[in-house]
Amino acid sequence: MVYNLKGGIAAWQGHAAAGTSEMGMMLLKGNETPREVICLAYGLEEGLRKFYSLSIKLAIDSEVVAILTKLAEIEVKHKQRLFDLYLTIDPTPLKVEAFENRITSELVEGGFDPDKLLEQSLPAFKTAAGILDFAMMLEAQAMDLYMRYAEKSEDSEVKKVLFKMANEEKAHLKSLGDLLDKNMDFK
Amino acid sequence: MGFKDLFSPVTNMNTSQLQAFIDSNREGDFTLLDVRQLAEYENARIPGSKLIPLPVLNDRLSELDPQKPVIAY
Repeated sequence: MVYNLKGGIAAWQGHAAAGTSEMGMMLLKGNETPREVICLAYGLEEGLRKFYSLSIKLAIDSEVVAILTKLAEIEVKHKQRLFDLYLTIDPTPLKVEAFENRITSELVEGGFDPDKLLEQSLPAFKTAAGILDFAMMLEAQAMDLYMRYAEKSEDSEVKKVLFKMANEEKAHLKSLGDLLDKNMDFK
Repeated sequence: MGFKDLFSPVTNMNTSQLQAFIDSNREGDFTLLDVRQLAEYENARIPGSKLIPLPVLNDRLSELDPQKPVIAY
């Protein structure tokens, strides 16, 4: 079945992804195992947690600090979800400490460099709503990146894992949207 | 999706319907197809979209899974 989106992208009201189709793709060769892609995603979640934690130090407004703290906590939950997924695919799973020792977390979700991201996003960090909007942008980029990874991967099991991770990002996007709505209600 | 589908009447979906469709279906079970040009795709796209510009769509139809619904924009 083929559907046509009436009004095209101009009518789309959800968050959009942007950038080249190669952006962030250097992290994946295409021949990774399911465990390797979960480790990669875990590292990106940890990178984002560190990013939010460090950003708290730059924030002055108490509401902004509270939202950044909440976002850092949410990333811990996202990491736990990925670790739970890892437990389902590895017949001899590592304990969480040993698993974390194998993780690289120099980039954040969506494949961004944290320093450049901070430089570009500072204006958004003045208000809680601005940060939530920024966080939703990152989740949209992450979802898009996992779908591009899935497209690139040659292994059907890896594709399944990547689709699951894209679904997770979609759920994160929705919960951040709910948080943003609640935040707006307080105004 | 086959070549003939390009000439079959398609069902229109508005953005609310698309959001509901995305929310109720798992990623990987459908294809969001961006048929615009590369620069437009890079500027803004619905997350998870696959780019096949309209001028080359006929040549690349085999990249689409005929078992999955396609939402084109």
